[in-house]
Amino acid sequence: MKLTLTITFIILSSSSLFAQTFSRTAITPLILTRIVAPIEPTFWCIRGDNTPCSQTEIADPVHYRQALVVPAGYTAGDYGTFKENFNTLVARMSNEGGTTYATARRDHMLYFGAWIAGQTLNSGAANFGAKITTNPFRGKALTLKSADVVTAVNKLKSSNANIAPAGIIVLFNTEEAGITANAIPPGYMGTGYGIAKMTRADLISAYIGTHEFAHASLNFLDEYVETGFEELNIQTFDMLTPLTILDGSWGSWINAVGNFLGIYSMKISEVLASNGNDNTDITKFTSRVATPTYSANPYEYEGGMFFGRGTWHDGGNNLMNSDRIKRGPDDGFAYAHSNSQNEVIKQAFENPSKALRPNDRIRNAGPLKSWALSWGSTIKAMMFDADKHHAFHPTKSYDVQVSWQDRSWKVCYKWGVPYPCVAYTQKTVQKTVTPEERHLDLKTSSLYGLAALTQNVLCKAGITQIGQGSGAIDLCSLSVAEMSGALLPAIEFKIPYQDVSIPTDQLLTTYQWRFRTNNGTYTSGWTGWGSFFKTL
Amino acid sequence: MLSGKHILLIATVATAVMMLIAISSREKPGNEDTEFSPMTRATAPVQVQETQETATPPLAEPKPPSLEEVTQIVRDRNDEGVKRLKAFEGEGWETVKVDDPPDADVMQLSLDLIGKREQDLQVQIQSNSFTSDMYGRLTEIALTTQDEKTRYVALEALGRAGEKSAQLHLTQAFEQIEDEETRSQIIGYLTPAEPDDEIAIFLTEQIADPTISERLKTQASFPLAMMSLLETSSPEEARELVSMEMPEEWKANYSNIVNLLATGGL
Repeated sequence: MKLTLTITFIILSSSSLFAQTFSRTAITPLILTRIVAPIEPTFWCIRGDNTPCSQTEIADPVHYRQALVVPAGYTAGDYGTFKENFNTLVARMSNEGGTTYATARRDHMLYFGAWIAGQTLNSGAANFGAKITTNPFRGKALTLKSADVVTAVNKLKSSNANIAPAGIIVLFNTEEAGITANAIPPGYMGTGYGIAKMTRADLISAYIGTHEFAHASLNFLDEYVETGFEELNIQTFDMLTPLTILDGSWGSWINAVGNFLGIYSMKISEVLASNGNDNTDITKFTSRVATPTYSANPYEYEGGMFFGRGTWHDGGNNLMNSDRIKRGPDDGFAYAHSNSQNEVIKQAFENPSKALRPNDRIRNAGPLKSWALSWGSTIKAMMFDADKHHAFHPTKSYDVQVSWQDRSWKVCYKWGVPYPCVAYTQKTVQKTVTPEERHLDLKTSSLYGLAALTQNVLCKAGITQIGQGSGAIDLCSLSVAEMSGALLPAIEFKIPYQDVSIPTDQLLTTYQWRFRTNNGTYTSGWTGWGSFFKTL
Repeated sequence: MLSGKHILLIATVATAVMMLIAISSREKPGNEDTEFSPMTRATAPVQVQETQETATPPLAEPKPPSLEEVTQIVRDRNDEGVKRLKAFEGEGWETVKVDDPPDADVMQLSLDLIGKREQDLQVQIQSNSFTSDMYGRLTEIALTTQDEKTRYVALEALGRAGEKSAQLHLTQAFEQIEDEETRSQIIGYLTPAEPDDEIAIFLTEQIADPTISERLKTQASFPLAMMSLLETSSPEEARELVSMEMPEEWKANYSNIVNLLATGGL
């Protein structure tokens, strides 16, 4: 059987270097004189229900979500092992995952295997720079260069336009125990897919593959609590917010403002746990505004994204939780999903263009003080929007309204003598604004005694790299001493805030403002009216 | 025939009368046809300093402005409004009518809204950021409302503010609330900036308070430990920074928390 399969792949490889569809039964094998390893790259596809992928399905990544599985640490002689590991992974996720997305919707999951032979994990030259690193605090971790994965994916795409992975699974060729799997979420990648990292040892059950791919493809955060941190509140982590730096994505106006964080309400806790992910938030009551056609339920349980307090998640035992800290009967693990997770899965698999809720996790974030003329003649108002980077219904536009008491003068008379008199009317103007990317940077050298904690939190969140491209450094493998290096690039966060320019020329005038979002399906309710004042 | 003194007296009285009329007709925003006294702009009270050597010259009667002058004033002031609107329109803004213009009661978080327009209050609080003049009101709302969500979002807004005075309001609310979950929420927002600031002292006091649960004491220990680790260069120094104020029986717990944070939990 193995000989037949090998021959099959050779034939198809020679005809098309990036052949799209491999069927286990549709190819007539030829007899060759010897077994050879397949010509790279070799590419195959199977559905979660163990049936072949059809061309129609491959051409429809909207309704058939693609998981691309690639090898790291497998050499040329390990092709058979990788294929076997691939099959095991697909079987576990598709059959043993209870009611999780991977099992319940396996007939809409397409698993692509892409064989790329490389060097061993210990060689220092494995695919994608993959290796197992040992950190004195964090123990053993799976690391790779995400830019190299992106390059490989783009190469595949260049010869097959239908390749549109919802997530990548990088399978590390090791059976070593005690290595924690992890994932880089799609929001951080900026490519539309995330990267799940796991080992062969993790194939023992459906859990790791299903859990990590949920991070990488659905942008779910962990809902369990780290041991020892059951009483640590994520808002305490906001002590680090003043250590952040604004980068060039903001424009030059920030230089005039100076004390940016004294003018605007921006929090690291929001960047970590209320930033594009649906299943956690930093408040129990996730809908900050009232949208007439929608009603949200509060998140019942506290905990998630590493912290025991200050983050909240929906009730319902589920894949992203654990039984270690249970604050209620349905605050634990199951091969299942909570209601809020199921909403995301429904949209992802059934109709990605239709959001199931408004982007209503919004608030006015300043300016909190009177706007000084020296900061510029145009006021910059700040909007917080937790769904700005939502993986499935990111905000498409903001409607912003500004209102003020307008003075309308006319000639009046008293005792026959003319004089100017005034009537006040409320004037409101509105504009639609498109979201743009904004960043905050954090230098690890400024973290002092909190470097190890910050490293652990960020690595758990999937923020594993600092710097970009070939110069990127793996954050999770750095020692604390290395993190104090002033020359290290900063950690860059894509943040859930958006500034809007308001052309107010009138000094000593109070303006009111508010905004709402549009995600293509829903227009949210308005925020409450905030106000700002322009002074000398 | 009137003397100079008589003329001066008449002029002074006339001016005083006109000033009284002006004060009683002061501009009131929001009222239609609010009137200014025709004399307010056109004239000013004349002050005359009389000396024994100098004879007082006769005062001219104030001249009311002409229609042309007033019309020009009106035109100039309306031009400012037109310019303001044009500045917005030039940047792509359009004038709109709104069904729910700014409501002063809602914006000021009037306590009258509690129990009557609770959802409006909740949206206003949860979707806005507040300055120090509103911290007291947020605290009052948290302590007054019977609605769990209103209390939660009011305390959350104070926590989000981050300023010292907001934090002090939170400590005041803590002392007036007995519910453990609400107290836990409040402690989560407290971030001491220095080892001897009011917030650090408050947290240390809770740790020393025998009526406070162990869970809340643990929660109170974390921000102290984090602040210490940011202030010092080693866990040993961080442990010493505030622990001298703690009860002996809690120092070991606190030391463990410092170690936990310093090692990232591993």
